[in-house]
Amino acid sequence: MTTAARSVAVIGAGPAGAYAVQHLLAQTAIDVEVDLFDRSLTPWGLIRHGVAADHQHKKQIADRAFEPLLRDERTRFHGGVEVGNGLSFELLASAYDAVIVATGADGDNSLGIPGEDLPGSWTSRQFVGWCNGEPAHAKHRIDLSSRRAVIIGNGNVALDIARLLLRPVGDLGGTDLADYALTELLTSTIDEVVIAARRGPADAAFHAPELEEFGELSDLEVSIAPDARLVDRALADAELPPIVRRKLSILRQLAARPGRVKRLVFLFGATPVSVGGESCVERACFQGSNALAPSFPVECGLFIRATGFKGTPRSGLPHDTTLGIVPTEGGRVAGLPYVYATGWARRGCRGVIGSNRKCAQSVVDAVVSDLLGKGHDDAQAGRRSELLARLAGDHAVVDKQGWRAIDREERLSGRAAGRPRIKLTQESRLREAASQAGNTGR
Amino acid sequence: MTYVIAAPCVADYSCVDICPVNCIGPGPDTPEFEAAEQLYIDPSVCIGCGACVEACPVTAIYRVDELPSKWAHYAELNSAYFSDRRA
Repeated sequence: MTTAARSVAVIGAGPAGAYAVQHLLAQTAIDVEVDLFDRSLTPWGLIRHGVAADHQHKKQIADRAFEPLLRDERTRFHGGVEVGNGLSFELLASAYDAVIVATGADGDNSLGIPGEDLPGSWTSRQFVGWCNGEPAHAKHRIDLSSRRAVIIGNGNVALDIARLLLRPVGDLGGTDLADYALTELLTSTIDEVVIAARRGPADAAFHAPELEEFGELSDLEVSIAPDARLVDRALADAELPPIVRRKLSILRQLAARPGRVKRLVFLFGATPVSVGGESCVERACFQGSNALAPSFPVECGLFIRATGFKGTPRSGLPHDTTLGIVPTEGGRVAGLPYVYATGWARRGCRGVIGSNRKCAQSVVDAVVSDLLGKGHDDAQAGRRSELLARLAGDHAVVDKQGWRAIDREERLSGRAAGRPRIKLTQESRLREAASQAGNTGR
Repeated sequence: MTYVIAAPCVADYSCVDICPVNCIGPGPDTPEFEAAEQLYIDPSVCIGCGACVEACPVTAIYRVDELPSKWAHYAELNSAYFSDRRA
């Protein structure tokens, strides 16, 4: 690392941050050194904690595209450091030539209906984090002892959750699903999942490949409510974009399969109005598309809202409360020179994993063009050295070597069990595994 | 023999960057990319070099005769993406 190198801090080691690092390292206009921060002890954000365990293909992106970034000498990793909590954004900004905010969308859209906080009601973030062994969600006691689950929202996250609930558990044995979740799913009695959405089939948010996967579940019946003809009617529209036509055709095909053991119901035109129950979730109540008709209940013991994510305000940074993003112009945060945002923090919660790559490219272009005209600042370099020394001396922080030690331990225990890895799901265990390597601050 | 992009695709366009004959779309600089669920290979242009296979971070690309059976229909989906646009 040369003294002339420009220092860039990237906040958030999910796909958005990782792609930013990828582009910073790939460009040749300026020499860089990059510090990658994450509030989790482990890197790769939603690849590790969000992508469904039975989508191991997608999780490979961590090994194939992101791990090489941490093998590059120009990068450092600081896991377990939350900017805005323990390390102020202002201090960070004063210690680096540039800061890229890639904090994603850390809040949940709530439904604002009575009963949504009853025990047995969860957010998709909680359920998915629980399945994926995310330490913040590993402690949840998710009760799978009822017959029916209701999921609000029909995006890919909702479909992932339904699939995990309905899949034969044997299919999950070779995945990195959290051990405790595997145990719970083994004794799950849920044999029906209702995926409910306000709008009709043509507006469904899920993608075709995710929908199609239900065809692999041989004991699953798929039905369309309140009326199976909704899909046929939507398909009659000659102007339907091909991508929507494909989704609806798959839906019709799935619904035409003969009766099976478990059931998935796509409920359209249904707005949730309340969640009811004595001391826990017993039913979800919906208003149909006819506002004059009475609301109707669906009995359930598990209620999950999967209606999207929204960024929350962060001290030191501007925030657009409507969109839940850090407002930027071409990735540059207005009023804060040399501060940038990328990924969901910049665009809101939409797009696929690769959308973040394009987003990162444009932000890194802006960073590089701005830094080419910026002079060196010795005081800033001094503040950075102090910060790095402090982080290196903090045993609660997981660095690259620490993460490698965690990764190794998880893979080794996984290999013995014929699984890609067995995740460590408690912060204390993760820190213990990391400490085998000793914190060197790299 | 042509290659085919299957279901795991996350639209990380490393394959577009590496393709020597520019047969993969939609590229990141096109308006279609914004709404893309996945990328596709045009079988009428693909020269079968396989460079995209190694570039793909999620191993979503297969030679057409090696497609897993559950994704066999992706050969048609890839080709249809381009023929629909030419129509």
